[in-house]
Amino acid sequence: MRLADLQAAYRGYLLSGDSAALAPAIVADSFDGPERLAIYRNNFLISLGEALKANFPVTLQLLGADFFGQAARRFVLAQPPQRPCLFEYGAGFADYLRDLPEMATRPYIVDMARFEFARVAAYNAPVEPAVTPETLVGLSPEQLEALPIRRARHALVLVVRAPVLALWQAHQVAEPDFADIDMTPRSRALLVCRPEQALTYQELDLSASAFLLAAEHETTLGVAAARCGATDDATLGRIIALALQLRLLIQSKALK
Amino acid sequence: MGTSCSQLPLATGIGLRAAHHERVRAEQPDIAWLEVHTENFLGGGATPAMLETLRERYAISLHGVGLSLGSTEGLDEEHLARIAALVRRLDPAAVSDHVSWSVTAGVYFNDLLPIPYDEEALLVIVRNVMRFQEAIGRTVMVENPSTYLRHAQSDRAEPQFLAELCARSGCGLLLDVNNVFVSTENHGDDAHAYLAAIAHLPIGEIHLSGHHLRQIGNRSIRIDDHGSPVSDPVWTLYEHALRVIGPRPTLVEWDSALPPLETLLAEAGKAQTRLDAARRSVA
Repeated sequence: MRLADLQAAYRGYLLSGDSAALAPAIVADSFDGPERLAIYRNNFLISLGEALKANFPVTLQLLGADFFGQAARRFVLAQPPQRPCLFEYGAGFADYLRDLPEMATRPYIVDMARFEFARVAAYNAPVEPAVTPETLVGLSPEQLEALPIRRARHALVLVVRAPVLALWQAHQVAEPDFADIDMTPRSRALLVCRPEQALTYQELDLSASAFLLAAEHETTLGVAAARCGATDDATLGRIIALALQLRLLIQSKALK
Repeated sequence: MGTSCSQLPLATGIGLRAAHHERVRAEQPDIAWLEVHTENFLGGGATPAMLETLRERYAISLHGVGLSLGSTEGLDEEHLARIAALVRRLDPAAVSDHVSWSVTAGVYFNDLLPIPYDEEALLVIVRNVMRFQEAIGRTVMVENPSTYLRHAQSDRAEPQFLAELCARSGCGLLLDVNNVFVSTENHGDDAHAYLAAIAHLPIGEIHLSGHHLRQIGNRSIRIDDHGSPVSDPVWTLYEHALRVIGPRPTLVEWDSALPPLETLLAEAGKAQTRLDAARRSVA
């Protein structure tokens, strides 16, 4: 069998469990081909299940090991990784969970999965030179308005309805206590970012979230400021200060 | 050692895993070198920065698990570029990956899948290893796999395949003694004959790790799991390997059911005792 055909047959087997096309290519002795191949399929499913556990530790606690394990196995087969860095694996896991009927009564777990993947993505995002107070010193009001910016890749904004920050914090101890957590759903905009070496999180108000959402792709400081709906300089000043403190903005190109 | 594929010190190292990052950084245990899985350090931020700090104290080996050197469709150039950038940043003492494949048609299987030992697979992996070396500007090592099956189309033994791979690509061999034991036991081969057949190759590093015996009915098969201490027969085979190929930098790997750092360091200590004895006998 040509190597390309053999590897295609492995792909089909690993994703389906049907070894009919591949087994004839395997030497059968004390174990037959399907038995030997099953070792590799087992490794494939277990190792990626472990990768998901590592990326979604609180989601795992909330779902329980059995349910998480079954969901992870189905997710791995439905959406296997496309790249070899497993810290990038699981971008679709929250949406996958959302579509499971069991999640209808526990939507906060889907929000937790979104938050946990944002943590992983922020932690591993590339280091980029951020806009600093020095960047802004000496710029005229017109230049400030026209400054080309985008949000740093370590800074993620997600909108959830569950109190995931409180829930996540409660799960950082051996015996979580949720008694004081208000589970009432309401829209929350969360900032997950890694300004230096460590992650930090906070809930954003409407103005700050609108500003940072506007800066997801390249824009100008003036446009992002207009989008945030700040009606006074103090609010805008507070948002800019937050952005500078947490290194949330990148100057996307030189000023004209 | 006479090999350009490894600048590792002739001593034992440990595989550094995330659960031990903080303690190793804080306590800087007395160990000569550290090996990490390259793919865990290709993001930005804190993780590679930590390795950069450890680089000041320890020799570092970058051991890849995801380049898929046996893939017929060639290497992922974007992934290769990230590895090349990390190599430039860290200037590691060694860079390696595996004689296996894990990627096809856009799916990464996260397992070291076996390749047939025939001419077509040899041409594919030689081409990919040479591209790897070209991209990072240095000689790499490739690790012999643990295998649980043989392909009907294989027309040569694994040691011969490895020898041809090293000769044609110029790469070195990372000899995993546990893998030699697991594979030869699983296929009814002779581990000593295996070592004799690869002893002349440029071997820049040795790996040691644990495996387990899985019972299936009245039959058994050895599974490489990096989740237990090095077994007694593997220690014995390691001693034999040191006699046959000479002393080499040696790593103790542990990936699943990771023990306390002390346990890992104690295993490395056992390897160091044997390595020291081998060095004395050579001297």
